[in-house]
Amino acid sequence: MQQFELFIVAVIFWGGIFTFLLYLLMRMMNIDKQLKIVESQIEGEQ
Amino acid sequence: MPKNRLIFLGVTAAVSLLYVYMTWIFAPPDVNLGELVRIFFQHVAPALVAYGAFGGTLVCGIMYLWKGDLKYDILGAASLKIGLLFTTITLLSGMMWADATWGVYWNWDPRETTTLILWVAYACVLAYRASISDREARAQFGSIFGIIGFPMVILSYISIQIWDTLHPQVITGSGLEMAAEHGMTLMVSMIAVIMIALILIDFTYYIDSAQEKIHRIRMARS
Repeated sequence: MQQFELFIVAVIFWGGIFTFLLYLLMRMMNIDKQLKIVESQIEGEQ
Repeated sequence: MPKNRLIFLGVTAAVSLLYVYMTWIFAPPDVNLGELVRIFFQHVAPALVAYGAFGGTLVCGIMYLWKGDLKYDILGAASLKIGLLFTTITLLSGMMWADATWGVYWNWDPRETTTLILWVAYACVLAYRASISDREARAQFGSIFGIIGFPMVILSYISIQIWDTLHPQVITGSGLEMAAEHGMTLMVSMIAVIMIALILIDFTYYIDSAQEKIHRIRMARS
């Protein structure tokens, strides 16, 4: 029974951190793309 | 990615591996709790780091209201998000601990209840921030509510001293009341979780700053 609780806590701890980290990395890649597009549009206008 | 950030990521990965080793292999089973002591290392560090993150939100809120610089608001919001993440981990791991040691997942213990109220309070601040479209108003109200919410952190921390509770009191005025190996593991867990939190705050700050920049460029062009 203790093994089950230890496993669940490890999943909560590392699962929570890595899921959030993955979400941030995906948003980072997305935001970099958006920033490049906006900046290239400004350069194009100039 | 800048070189400094990569080095910090590498060091954090190494410290995290040491933390995993110490939690699961180095730390011996406790005399009373047995193997369940390992939950402790994944519960206390996130709790203390969450308190620290909310402290960061408080400081950034004060700095924003004082200086009026949006970077403090963005940093405070990033700190709030990470504080909420670690409070969620604390609540869930605490529930598993409670089930294993007290026989129930939730028994409205003062520490459980005040931490839940803390989570709800800061979740409301985050939801409120998301609901305001005006950037300056969001920063002002977000900072004010970030400051108003902080006494809840203090109440959550001292709840086990002012009310009768089943929650173990490990950190006392006379230091850590645990075996030396467990104390060392707790220290490493604190360092690892602080470093992880700093990385998450840094990434969140980077994303939100870039989002802000894009928003300003689009507003200026339209």
